[in-house]
Amino acid sequence: MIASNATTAREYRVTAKVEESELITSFYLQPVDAAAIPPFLPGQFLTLDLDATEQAPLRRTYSISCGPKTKGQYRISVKREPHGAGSGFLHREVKEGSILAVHDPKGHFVLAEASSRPVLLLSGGVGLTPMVSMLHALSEQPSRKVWFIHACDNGKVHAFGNEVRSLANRFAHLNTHFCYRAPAEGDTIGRDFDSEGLVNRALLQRLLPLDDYEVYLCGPTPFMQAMYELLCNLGVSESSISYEFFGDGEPLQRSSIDLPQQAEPPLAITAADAALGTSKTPLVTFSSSKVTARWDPAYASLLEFAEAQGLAPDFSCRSGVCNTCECELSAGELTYSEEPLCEPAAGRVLICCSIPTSDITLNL
Amino acid sequence: MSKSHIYMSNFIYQFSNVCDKLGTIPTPSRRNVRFMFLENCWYVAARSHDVGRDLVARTMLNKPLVLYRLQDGTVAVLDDSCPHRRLPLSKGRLLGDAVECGYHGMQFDAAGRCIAVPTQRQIPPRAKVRSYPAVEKWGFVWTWMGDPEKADTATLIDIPNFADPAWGQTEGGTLEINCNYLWLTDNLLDPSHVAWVHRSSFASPGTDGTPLQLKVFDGGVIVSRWIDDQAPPPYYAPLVKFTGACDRLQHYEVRIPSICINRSIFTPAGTGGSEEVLDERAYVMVSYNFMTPIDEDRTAYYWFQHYNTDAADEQIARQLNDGARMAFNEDRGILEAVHIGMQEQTTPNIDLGLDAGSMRFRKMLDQAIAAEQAA
Repeated sequence: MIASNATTAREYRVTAKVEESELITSFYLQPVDAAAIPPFLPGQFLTLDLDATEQAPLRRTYSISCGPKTKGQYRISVKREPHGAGSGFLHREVKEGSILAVHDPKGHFVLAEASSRPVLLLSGGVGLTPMVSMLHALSEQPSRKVWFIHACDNGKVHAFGNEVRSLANRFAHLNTHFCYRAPAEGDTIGRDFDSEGLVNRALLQRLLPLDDYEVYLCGPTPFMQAMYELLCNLGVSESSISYEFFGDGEPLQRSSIDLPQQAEPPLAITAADAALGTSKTPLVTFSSSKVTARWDPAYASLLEFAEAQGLAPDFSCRSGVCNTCECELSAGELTYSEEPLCEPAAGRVLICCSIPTSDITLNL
Repeated sequence: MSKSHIYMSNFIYQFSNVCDKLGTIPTPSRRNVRFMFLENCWYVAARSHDVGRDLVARTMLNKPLVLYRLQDGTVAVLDDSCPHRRLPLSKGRLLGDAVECGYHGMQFDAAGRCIAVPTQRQIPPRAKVRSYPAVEKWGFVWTWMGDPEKADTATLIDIPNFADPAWGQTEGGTLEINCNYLWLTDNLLDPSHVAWVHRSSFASPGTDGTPLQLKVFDGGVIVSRWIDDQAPPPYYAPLVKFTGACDRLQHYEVRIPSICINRSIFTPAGTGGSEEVLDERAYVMVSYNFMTPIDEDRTAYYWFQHYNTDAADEQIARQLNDGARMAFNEDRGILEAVHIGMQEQTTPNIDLGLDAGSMRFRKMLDQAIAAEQAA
């Protein structure tokens, strides 16, 4: 095959389109064939192939924002970006009844559900979407103390306020704090939000006792940078902080900002593997991106797999003839499904036409 | 030695000092080193009816040749250059089975031996021109440009159904195209371009996006796909004998050195999927395209078409031929500009998945040329 598609996308119908804030809209997705939906872990995302242009589909990833126990449908929540081709298409063109091409849930930024430690879900802006899914899951773990802290501009752009608050009202172990940078007219402290300004050291110190929290962090890059430093300064160990970057309406990107990263694959992988039943496949490590994931045989190539993890390696032909995707193989072995036209130099491989045969490390 | 080394060494052998290698396809940009062609194989030198009892000048693989028909009807091919002062022999005249140079009357027979020289009785031993094996088949004169000892008519392409009275055939034609012949072999391994270059003729829904199958075999490459359940495109619509939607096969095959076979099948929707087992209503058209490099910048494009219907209908044959010529002229406009664009590029071009077939064919041919040169 010259043009191999990624894992086959399934058709989902948009059963509801709900405005969560001025910027964020949720889409409820049910499979057209009415078959069961693949399970997901709180924090995972869906990959959509959007027919937004006449050219190739736009591939975009969006976090699932509903709880993992939701039956028969997914909910994704999408921020409309000023120049976002994918988000613009979803907000503008996609309606209730529209059919979308959706790949199975992916991602390793997932809640460690086996843990019993207290949890801080710390989000900025649209970074709250995976946190809402995690909060639903945590609502069923009453032994864990949970803080849901969310920072955003004001009530107009504050999504899921009622949903999060009502969960917290029903479950005593869930605590919330909403921090508005610049409250709008009509935003009322104590009702709509809890503090004004930025999430700072004093606020975190006041809210969080000296517990051994597991922190999940997601939001715009400057927010994440600031929060990461703040948490480290407060003595939270780096290994306790899991985080995920959002590009602005683009596929998930691991940014190159100089956050120290987890030295080891996130603990969550073990739980994710168990849940996904992929524990016997090789571990694939993208070393520059600090991403490790279990190989999923549903993918035709390491390139597709890398993209599903949120990486964006350079490519052109995707069929082993142009060598654009050539990269360094630091460890492990792979096999070519299509022999490269020009075999890369020793120690280098093409990822567009290969799959791993052992645990491998690619310098990507 | 790894495969890549062989491949790259070919490029270096062929193109060092002649190409600015940008991207993966070297393009000749200077003229001080010869561009290499595969020589031990048959190329079409002319259509049979182009060659008679006069001298025809043709350049193939950068070599000027003179072609003429002997009194017994067979065809002779000689270097078109008198060894004396290098006047092209084609500027002289045909005397019986010999060529007489138009400058001083030296005469050469069909084997290239000098049989007469002016003002002296002794013929200089070096007074000879190279002759090339030539054979006529399928309406063409084929010439062997390499070692004559190796010339073997068994290696000529076979054309099934050529003598079948139930099959129709177009007269075919010749186009001289100002581009390297590999842009044409690329084009004829590329079903995707149809959707953009041939909107008014070969394009139909599905030619823009349906995935392609690639098959590499000993001596060639096939890129193909079935496009299911579509209306036939304008060029084929009047020919298909059944009504309703079609399953359409696009089979693009290129064999070494530059023989391009384009097989189209239109069969009632739901009956497609196999080239071997065809519905009796299936319409089959095979387009035979023979590329002869004139030099690295020009190609003689010979073709004819063969189809399983309307054998006796001359009007259909004419229509088909005119349609093909129009479409090939559409290709010409694109490929002549590509030839220039690729030569003049200053940043590397890119390759797409749809190039996999042509890239693999180029490599196969490069390896054959390197093996021939090394032998």
